[in-house]
Amino acid sequence: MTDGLLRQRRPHPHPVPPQRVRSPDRELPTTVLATVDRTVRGATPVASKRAAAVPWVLLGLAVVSWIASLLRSDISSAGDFGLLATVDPTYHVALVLLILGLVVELRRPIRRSGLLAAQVVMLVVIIHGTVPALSPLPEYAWTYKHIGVVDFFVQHGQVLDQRDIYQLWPALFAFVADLSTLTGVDPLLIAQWEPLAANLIFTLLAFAIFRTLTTDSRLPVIATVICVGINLPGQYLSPQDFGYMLCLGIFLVALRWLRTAPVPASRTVGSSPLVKARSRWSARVAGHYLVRRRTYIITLTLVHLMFAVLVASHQLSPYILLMDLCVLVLAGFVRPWWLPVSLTVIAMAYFAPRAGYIASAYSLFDGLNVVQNAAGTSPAWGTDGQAFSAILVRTLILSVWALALLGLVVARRALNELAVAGILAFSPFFMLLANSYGGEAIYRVWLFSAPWAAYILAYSVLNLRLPARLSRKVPRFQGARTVAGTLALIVMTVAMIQGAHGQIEVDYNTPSELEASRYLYATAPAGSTFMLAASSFPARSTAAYNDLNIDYGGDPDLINELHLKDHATLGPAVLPTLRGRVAAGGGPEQFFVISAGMAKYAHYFGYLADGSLERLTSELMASPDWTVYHRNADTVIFRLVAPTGGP
Amino acid sequence: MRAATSTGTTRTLSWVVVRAALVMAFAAPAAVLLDLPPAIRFVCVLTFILMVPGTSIMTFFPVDEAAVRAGIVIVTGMTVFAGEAVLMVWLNLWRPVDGLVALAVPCAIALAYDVLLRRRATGARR
Repeated sequence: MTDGLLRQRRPHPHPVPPQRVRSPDRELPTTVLATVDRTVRGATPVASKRAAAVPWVLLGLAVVSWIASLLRSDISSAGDFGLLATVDPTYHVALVLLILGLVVELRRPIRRSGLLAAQVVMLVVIIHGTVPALSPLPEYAWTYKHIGVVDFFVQHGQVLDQRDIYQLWPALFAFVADLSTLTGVDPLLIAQWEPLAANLIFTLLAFAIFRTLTTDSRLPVIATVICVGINLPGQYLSPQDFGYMLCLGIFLVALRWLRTAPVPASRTVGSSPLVKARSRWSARVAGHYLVRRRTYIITLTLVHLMFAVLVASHQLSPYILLMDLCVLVLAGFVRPWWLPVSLTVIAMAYFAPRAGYIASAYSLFDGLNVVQNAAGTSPAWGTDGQAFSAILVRTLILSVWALALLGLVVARRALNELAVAGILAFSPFFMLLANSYGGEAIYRVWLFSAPWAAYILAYSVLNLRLPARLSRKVPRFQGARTVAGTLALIVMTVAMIQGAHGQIEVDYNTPSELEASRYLYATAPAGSTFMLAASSFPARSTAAYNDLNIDYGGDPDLINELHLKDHATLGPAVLPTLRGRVAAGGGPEQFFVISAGMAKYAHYFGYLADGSLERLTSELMASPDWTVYHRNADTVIFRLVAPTGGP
Repeated sequence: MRAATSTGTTRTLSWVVVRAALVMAFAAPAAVLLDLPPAIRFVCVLTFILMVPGTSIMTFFPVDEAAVRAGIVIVTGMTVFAGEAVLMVWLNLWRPVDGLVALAVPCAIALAYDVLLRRRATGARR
């Protein structure tokens, strides 16, 4: 049997180096713990049984409270402060009860994995399942562009347009189209519930990855809970979500099966801290894993297969992953050395035929201005609600990064536990050296950094100790640490929800807006053009998305075209300007679209004075240059009557 | 050698997962071919994607840890299904039902072979 094992992967004769034991379960395998747990549970007195029932009761109350909040909430009338200010207070009660239950269970000497799993799943459901449950349609206007591509593949089943970036990276869209075709389920419904499904998978993968990094049974759970609380992926059906899932899968395979072999301690004497950390990490965490040659080959193949699908899914994610893997390989944590090379070949082979078009239509290199590349998409805040959400999220992100950095510094003597997480938490920052990704680069950095930062935070919380002289002065330090940790977790989770759904009034789409959008695509002559009053509209949601506004640069909107901001007012002079801009679009017919969602968008971001779009609607109705092409409860589509040719 | 260090619980779970995956390898194509209601088809096909390709690959290198196994099974299944879908798109061979059957057949063979091996191993131990 030994012949079947790679030689360098034999377990180290002393896989667990001597170290301070901080908790009894560090030395006990999970299976032993489970046995002890069962034994103890069978013999616990009544009081202990009651104490053991507390987390279950809290979970049950949280579920009931959350369901009650769903029945009593209406987010169609959300205000500037978003979901948290709109939902029934029972939602907040559910969140707090659930987190309290989690903390109570984690404080028990022997924890029940089934209960912890149920609590974490419920946390994901409360955070990511509420909006889908309360909305008639998928959240975010830009989700509908993706639904249109899915619909395109359902109808055509092939790539027909080599200048359409979505068709050039089609893996996710083909996946959903395939699923929709086989099942007959509307892609809209799939998109609506995708955030919940994606986050459940992300959570599972994050937990599995954390399990490969440590032998402490509490650390992966706490890290997962923090990760669920602070991360912002899985907001809508998108290639980056799918790519992120594949990246996590690749990390899992690499850290589980492709890590380097442990080096005997005698050979690391006098070596750098990183070499020692690598050796200790491999030995301590991985010493008992025996990787057979067949497994090694299969897992390597699996990584390449996942990466091949990843490069066909998203433009940016493969390169962030490559960067992370490069650092891990260079630092000696992952093998083989040629893995980043072979993956780069795959990425380049995919990108090369598309490079010409991408370079002509998009920016590949935005310069070495890190500050500019790190700037987000909102340079200014239009309402108190937007400012509140933005400040809260930025504070959350900067705090987590600062605390993770502090945690690394404090735990510098235990880098064997944190080296991998430390590398992966901060290596995504290299991305800011090259590209702003349309203002989204900083969000990508956070996305790829957050799980590892969460792991470092969890480690820091678990290993926070006062010096002996101080511990006598603060006898209740452990209790205070638990209370502070619980409060911090609640605050971080609330901040993340505010960041994700703080602008729900803008991101909430109504069926009548979608109906108007689809009516336009179904009835307007191919090649026609339209302008939106604001970009918040579920456009391009059908297979015919490239029949109108064929310029591949998105749909023009009045606010951007006229650079309107600071609560601008639309005076009478705007009518001829608007007419000219819309007419300049060309095509058989030209349209202008105004919806209730656009008015909310203009208000929330402070682009227009309140009531501006309503007045513009009235003026357009009175104008002889325009006719109402379609009208429903929330949307009016105007058609330009005058012939094309400008004002 | 396979699952040599696994506990009784994980071995039983693995048994259940492999058998369930084998059932789904037949159930999902059947649900689609029989044109059952969308809700049933959706559950069957989604379960197939999340379970069958990944489990059939995992029969070649079993993992004891449930979370790691579940994660790999799900990501592998989605990778394989997405890979197949994108190939159909690129090759202009958009036939999702045929694609599902083509995916189900090798998976079913691998899973059935694994079940057979396990049965033999169980019989030999007895």
